[in-house]
Amino acid sequence: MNWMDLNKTGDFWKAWQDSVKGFAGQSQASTDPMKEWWNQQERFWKDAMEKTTGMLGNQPDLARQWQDMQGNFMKQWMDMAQQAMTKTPSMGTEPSDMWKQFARQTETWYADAFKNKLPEQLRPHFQTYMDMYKMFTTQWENIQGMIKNGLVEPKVIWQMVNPAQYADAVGKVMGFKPMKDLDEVTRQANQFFEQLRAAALKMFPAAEEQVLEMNEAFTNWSNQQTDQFFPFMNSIKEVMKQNLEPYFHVTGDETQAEVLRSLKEMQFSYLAYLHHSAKLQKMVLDAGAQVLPSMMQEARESYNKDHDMPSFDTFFTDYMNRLENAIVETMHTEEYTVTQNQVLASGAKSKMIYDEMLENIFKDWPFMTKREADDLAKETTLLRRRMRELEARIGAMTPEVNGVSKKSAPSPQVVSSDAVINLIGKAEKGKSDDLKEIKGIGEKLENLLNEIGITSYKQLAKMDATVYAMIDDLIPAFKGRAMRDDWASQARELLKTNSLV
Amino acid sequence: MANWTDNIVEKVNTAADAIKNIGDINEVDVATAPREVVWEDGKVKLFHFTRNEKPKAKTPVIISYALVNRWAMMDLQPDRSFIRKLISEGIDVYVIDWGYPTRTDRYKSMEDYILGDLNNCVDYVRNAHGIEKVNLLGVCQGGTFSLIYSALNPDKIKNLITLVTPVEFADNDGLLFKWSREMDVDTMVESFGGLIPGDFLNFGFDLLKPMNKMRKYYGFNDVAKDKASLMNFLRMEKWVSDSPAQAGETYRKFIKDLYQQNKLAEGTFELGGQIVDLKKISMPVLTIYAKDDHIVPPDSTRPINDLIGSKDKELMEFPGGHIGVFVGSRSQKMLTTAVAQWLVDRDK
Repeated sequence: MNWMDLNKTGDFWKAWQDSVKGFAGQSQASTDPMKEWWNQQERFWKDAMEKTTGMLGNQPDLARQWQDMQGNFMKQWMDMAQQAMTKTPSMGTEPSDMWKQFARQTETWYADAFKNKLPEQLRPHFQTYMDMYKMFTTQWENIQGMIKNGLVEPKVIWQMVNPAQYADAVGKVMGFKPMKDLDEVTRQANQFFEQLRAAALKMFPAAEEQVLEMNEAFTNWSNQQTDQFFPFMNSIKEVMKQNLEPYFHVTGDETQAEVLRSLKEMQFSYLAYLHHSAKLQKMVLDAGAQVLPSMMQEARESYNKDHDMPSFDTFFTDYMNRLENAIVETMHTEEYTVTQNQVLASGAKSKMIYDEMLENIFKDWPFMTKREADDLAKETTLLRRRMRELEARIGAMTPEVNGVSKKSAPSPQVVSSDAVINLIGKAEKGKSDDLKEIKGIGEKLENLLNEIGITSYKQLAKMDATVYAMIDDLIPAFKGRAMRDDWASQARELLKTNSLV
Repeated sequence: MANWTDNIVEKVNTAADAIKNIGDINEVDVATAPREVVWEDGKVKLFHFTRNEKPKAKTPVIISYALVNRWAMMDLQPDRSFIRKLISEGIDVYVIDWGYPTRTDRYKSMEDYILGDLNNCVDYVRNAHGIEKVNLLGVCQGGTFSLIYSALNPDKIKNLITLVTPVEFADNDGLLFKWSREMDVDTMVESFGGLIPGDFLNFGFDLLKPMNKMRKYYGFNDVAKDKASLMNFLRMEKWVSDSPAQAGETYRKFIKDLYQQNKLAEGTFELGGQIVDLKKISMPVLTIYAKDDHIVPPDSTRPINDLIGSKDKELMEFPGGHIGVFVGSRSQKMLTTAVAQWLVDRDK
């Protein structure tokens, strides 16, 4: 629990207090728990301030205490409210707007608290759900009215139910980027690319001037500061400037021409992306738009027969299911698949051109570009693969090295302790060095090595790549350790030092 | 509308419980079964789960999960954990954690995963237990990896289990399959800078049932008023949103060779210079699929049984979808017990 949550909860209680103030006149009792609660709050915060200067979340006990206080109060208040409501018959028949608002507030607060516990990436999904839910709760009375009165023609429905709200909800479900008016979006995109090209035309000289100007201004300003921090920063900046200056001029005419070309290409692939997207969105929205009218028409028929009105929950869940079916049906068409792939391809192409453009702009700068990093990644992967092949070859060679005939099926335990000792020799009788002196060997590994019969620096000093590979097989948990820390060299160093002493 | 008072009272009472429940939750824990890292290379780790009693089956099982999403699905909540249950049924369990690839891994290929990491993990367990063969259990994409590996190394695998594993990519009506068939995968890989974001992959799965990601919130207030169900809901949410990116080269080959050209089923799939012939799979194989799987439809899984060369082979159907098969209470109880029993029976 953190400070933010508490704040939110606090807001809710405040809103609640406001919304129940109206009941004060109806029941004297209703004001008492309120007063008591405020007093409790005051005492708590006074106490809390003395105990902590940081976040309340850092004090789990306090946070818990606060939480309990709210929970207890809420229960108490509910009992009181229940009593008050049953005592006032007029309230038992028709919900007042105040109560409706109160219920809605409760729900909103509750939804917020719940949302805050969801992983961040999923919160938008929850919000979309709530939006759709709200769209239906706020329209439910209208929908019922239309069903009762037979106003179930799509035209009439979309006058009462805001089509923009529908498009927004479905768009979010499908991950659409909102696109209200394709002509307008196209015009804006064209304008945007024209501006970019205009900027690129004067980009390079201007960038240089700007950097130098800013440099100058910052130097002047920081020289006037007395704080040690600014001269320090300034010295860093000076070093950077000196290092970067030679590169101000290398992004010359050729790059500029390429950047301008990229922008033109990007403009078209982006327009293609917009147009394919618009087509895709329309297909889905059109398919889903049939659902509400047809549900309302069915509800109308059943209402005509036996005056039966579906419950809100039934209607809402049914809507979600049928909307999904309608969309999925569209997604199964060949046209949808083709269009979706066009959207993906044109979007991806725009992104590729953009990356290439940045690559061009930065190619001569003294830091690694994406392409160079890619080369490095490729090298790394190839090296790992090569290493794996070598390991396999060493593994296959090991039995032969030891004079053990190779079995037809590879056996996992071909390397034996004896084979290792054959290569590095036995330790002198009673001779046991502290192997932990070797970097990378801890107590556990020392014990395992002792079990093999390795107890001296002299033995370690005789190790080579073949022995390392055998050790790896014998003690797989520490695979690669011997090679990595080069035990043999370390042991030789220790032997040298020891002989000097 | 007569009981509107009750409705509001109910709502506020629910909210009162929820204040405590929601406020009490500081951390959502998944994958809590005790374990230790026994092997690691780069971002890949092999976990061995701690156990108190001697296993019933002496051959341990290695779980190879998909690269998409995380193996935590197999140990989502303490009381419904595939892994914990497997352990308590007497199986010694290892799981490969593929890690979270970054741009450094963009060229990491299926060859590196299967002939490198998977093979190294298998060799580690063989060595550690002093045995020739281990059991392999693959889930979804990890199952496809396991099939390929077992076909290339039949001498290292004692028993193979595939769960919701696609092998037949051509002959089914799944949307994911349909879309992937016509996708320009080269452009996608290139534009993503060689690393396919987890969000993009998740988005694809979400689209198959677009309302699912919202529908689950229906009735969230009932979920939250009970602390245990709230925790389990949040655990699933945590798992869903925990989606590693996928190395571009691996994705490219998986889509091109499998989704688009169905090479594995047709016997033309090549890895590390070798053609993968599923008929070379001769060990006992258990193929498990979920009846209502819309991500890997049964039609793409069941053919495993016809494509392999094993004599001892079995198909099992369980209720639920691609994920539900692991966490649904009914199927989970039956599923894990069946898997454990099948392994114990073949442990001679």
